[in-house]
Amino acid sequence: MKKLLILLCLLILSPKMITAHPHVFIESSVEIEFSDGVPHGVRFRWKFDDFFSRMMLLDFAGSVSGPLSAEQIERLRAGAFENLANFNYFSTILIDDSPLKIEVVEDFRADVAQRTLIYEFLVPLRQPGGSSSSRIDGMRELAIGSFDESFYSYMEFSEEPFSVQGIRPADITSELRKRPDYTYYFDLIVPELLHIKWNP
Amino acid sequence: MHKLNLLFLILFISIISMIRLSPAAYANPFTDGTGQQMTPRAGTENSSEAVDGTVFRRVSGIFPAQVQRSFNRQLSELMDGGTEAGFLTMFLIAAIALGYGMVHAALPGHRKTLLLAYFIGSDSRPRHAVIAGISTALLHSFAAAVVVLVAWFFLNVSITAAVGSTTVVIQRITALAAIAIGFVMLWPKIRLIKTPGDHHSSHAHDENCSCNRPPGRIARWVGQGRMLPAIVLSSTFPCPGSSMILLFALAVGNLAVGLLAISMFAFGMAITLVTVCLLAVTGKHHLFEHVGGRFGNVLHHGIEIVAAVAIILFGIFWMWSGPVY
Repeated sequence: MKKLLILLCLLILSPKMITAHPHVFIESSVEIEFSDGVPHGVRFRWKFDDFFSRMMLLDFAGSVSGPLSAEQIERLRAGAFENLANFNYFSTILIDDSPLKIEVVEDFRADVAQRTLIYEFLVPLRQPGGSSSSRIDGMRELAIGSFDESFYSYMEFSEEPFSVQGIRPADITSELRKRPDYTYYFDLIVPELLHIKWNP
Repeated sequence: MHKLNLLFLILFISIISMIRLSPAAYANPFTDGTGQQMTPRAGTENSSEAVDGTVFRRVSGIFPAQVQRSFNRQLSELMDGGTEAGFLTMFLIAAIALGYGMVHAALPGHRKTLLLAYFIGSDSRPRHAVIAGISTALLHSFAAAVVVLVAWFFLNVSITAAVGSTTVVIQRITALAAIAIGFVMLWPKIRLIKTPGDHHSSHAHDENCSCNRPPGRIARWVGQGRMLPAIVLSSTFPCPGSSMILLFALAVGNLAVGLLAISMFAFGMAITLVTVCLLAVTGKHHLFEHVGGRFGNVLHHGIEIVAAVAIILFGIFWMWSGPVY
């Protein structure tokens, strides 16, 4: 009885009530760009559900089929991607378990495959001291997550969530690991982070 | 002009005005709003807390989201058949949309919480819960249909912008209503606190017990469900899910399938919402049947005060926040 009452009060007073059930479903995968055994960027690939794809394409591209022109891609970027900067692009990147605030994304691409809209963008792994700083050179692990804390979108990694561009470090390993320290949406969703390890 | 025609004209102009009023306001994080960067909670990465909560979380969080994703995918595949949908396809679309709606409304959301707060804070009857659940779901989807169809056929504007700007306008209006309702519900409780004596401690509550209702005309008014329409009106903002489904149907050239899908989606949501509202009403009733005396009295009014305050806070939050869904 007491637990029920506490639960009711928490339900009513919880500040997280601003969130909503998911309206968009996204399948995510990542590609790490390596050069000389050093990662220089993480390229995210998001595949949207058909309903949301159609809405975004009609609203911002004016066409529901690909290939999209440079102008259409720019309209999608400006209208339906740029604002995600306020949400850290739904992306969490941990460099040796230290979170990276995503200041800039590059090389935004949009495409349509069958019915679905696909976004791709690159998060460069730069440090203030430049790309050759010791933090980048000496790193041994990247943990990458894709999730929308507002829960407007539900994101999951695809069946093949990880690939490498460039020379693949010989001893690189990856695993999906649940991270309760990033739990969101009324503490109900425990996201998975993709942990990628190698020897520098 | 006939009164009914005039009413429709006013309604139509109002809808167009709402859609046109704030074209810069959008309805999803891809286009609007500010978030926050997630910060990890210290010491929980490898804790057993995750293991302890796994079953509950899977049932109440991840599983419904995954089921919705599956329904979403199946529904879009069936609807993409265009105008050639046969009886079996239509039946499957209806069945999947119904299930999709039921699960869609099952996850926590702030307007559901507002309904719960209302039923916990007032002495409503089960019939009020049924009416509230059905009308909330239907209005939510109906609003989406109106906005999408008006934007598609009459205005040629972005559906995303139309849904967003309508949400903003309705949110501001219902914010005022929520604040007013909260105060109306709170006032009798405050009056009761000021009134000396305790008439609850001498007997148990039953169906006809007059003390189930706080004293005063306003309190009886609340108890009779007269404030319920204002709460339900908070759901007249367009449902983003229904908007996307209907727009998809329009794009593939089959409005009838789209209307069928969002109607069944709305019925699915109604089933869940009625269940939730009934649980609140009957749960509260049963709770105070078993908890009597001074403690029960204090608890009763304490919960109702918390619920009324929560409704006021919801209103204040909606007044100042961006669009919430």
